[in-house]
Amino acid sequence: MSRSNKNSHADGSLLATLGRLFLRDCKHHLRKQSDILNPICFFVIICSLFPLGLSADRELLNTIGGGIIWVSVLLSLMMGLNQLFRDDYEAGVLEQFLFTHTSLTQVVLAKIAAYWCLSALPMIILSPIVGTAYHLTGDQIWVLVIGLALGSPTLALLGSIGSALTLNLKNGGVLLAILILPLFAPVLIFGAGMVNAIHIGLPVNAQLSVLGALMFGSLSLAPFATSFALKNSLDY
Amino acid sequence: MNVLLKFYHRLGSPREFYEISGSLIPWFGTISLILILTGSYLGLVVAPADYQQGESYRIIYVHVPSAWLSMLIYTVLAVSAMIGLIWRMKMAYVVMICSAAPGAWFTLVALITGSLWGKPMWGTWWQWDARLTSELLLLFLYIGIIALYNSFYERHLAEKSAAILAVVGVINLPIIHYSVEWWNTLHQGSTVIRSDGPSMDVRMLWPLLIMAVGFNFYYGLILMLRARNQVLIQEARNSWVAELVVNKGQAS
Amino acid sequence: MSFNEFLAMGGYAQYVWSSWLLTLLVLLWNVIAPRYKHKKLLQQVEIQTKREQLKNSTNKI
Repeated sequence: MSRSNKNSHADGSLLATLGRLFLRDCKHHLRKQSDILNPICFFVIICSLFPLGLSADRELLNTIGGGIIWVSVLLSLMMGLNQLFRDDYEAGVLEQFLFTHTSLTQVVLAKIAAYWCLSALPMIILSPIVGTAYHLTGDQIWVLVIGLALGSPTLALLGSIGSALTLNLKNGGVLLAILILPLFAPVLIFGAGMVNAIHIGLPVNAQLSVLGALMFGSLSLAPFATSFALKNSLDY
Repeated sequence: MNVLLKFYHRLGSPREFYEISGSLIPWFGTISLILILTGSYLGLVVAPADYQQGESYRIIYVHVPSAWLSMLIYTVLAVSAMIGLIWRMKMAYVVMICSAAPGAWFTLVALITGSLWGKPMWGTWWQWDARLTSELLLLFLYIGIIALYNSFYERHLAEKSAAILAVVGVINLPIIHYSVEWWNTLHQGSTVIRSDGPSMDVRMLWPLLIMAVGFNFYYGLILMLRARNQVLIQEARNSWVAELVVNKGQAS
Repeated sequence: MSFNEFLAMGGYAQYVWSSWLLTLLVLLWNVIAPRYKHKKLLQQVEIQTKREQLKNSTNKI
């Protein structure tokens, strides 16, 4: 805290710095629209391929729908994560952050927040539509949306560590998936588990609490790990 | 304490490590060989057949020590990664990266032997059993560390990146384990046969413990073998390595 | 218990023996492979030192 106060006294509070960084990233993403649109299209396309490969059986789709939508979200978020720091890295902006007094952890937090708003949030908004296509009931859709809202920040935070680790590698994309997907397993288990549990009439409080705990846990640890990994990748 | 500390510092120097491990390797080799042979004899011949599983339970003597070792190795890997990150110790990174491949091997052995045990017992090659599934995810973590390490040209970047991933992994591992266990109880109920009961026959337990200790010594052995190679690669430009070869040439 | 009975493992021979064989192979491989590599590495160092010695001696002349 003291560090951020010290260096942000000239231009306002910690939140103001974060806000400025956040807006900067959002603008950047919005300028490169394919970065945002491609993962979302990917998400919708995978979700619509599964019924073609399996069958259009109502019962079956209802059982597997939660899991499929969750896995599709994992994979689609993964696609964008590869680009999370890359543009700034190639433009040399990340190195400049190191030399100015902005703490890298703040930059990381702002980037993850912007990424979440522009990648995960649209998928969460689309998920009820996809869920309806899988014949999910109203309760299931609610649980799916809440689960995604609680779980996707964890995914973005954990993913940012992998993204920072593979920053200066040419074929980072596939490697990133290998590094990060196993770590996503708990979020997937609790998130998709909820959608099925509510259908059999089981309470989902436990899963909700765990997803929340995972989110706050990763929020308090992952940004530091990510900025540490970034410094390593920049060989600083 | 002072002696231990001194020993620790000596192991921290690649050259000292090379010399000390050279004299330790025969001991570790002999001890692990004796223990594994004794354990195999006791486990395959002396131990009685299980009253429920018959002779098939004898897979336990290779399956369980491999599974235990796969988890122990990940602990060693993560602890040495932390030592490397905090104290920037050269040898800690060597231990870390030389543990990754043996860890992956033993995880694989535990998975395959588990599946070979599952076929006659559960009637299927693969059951989404909590322990097998966590073991599978552990294998993915090992593969991730090895793949990340191998994709860098500069060794100091590779070491640090792999170490960060190892530490992140070890924080996640208990979460992964408990979530898989929770998921398993939800999906499988009590279909998993648990015949090993609360207490094992002593004649069955001893071979298992002997095998487990033997496997630990074996891990020490291959860790040293690999670490020596790594030290040679890293120190190839140093004069002591050249001296070593020259002295060896003169001796033979 | 006869030797054949021992080999038959109460009808589970294929599972028990393939598990043990696999473990044995992995144990052997993990000792042999690093030892072989060690030999190769020492040879490399030897070649390297000889080359450097040769270079030094020619430089002196």
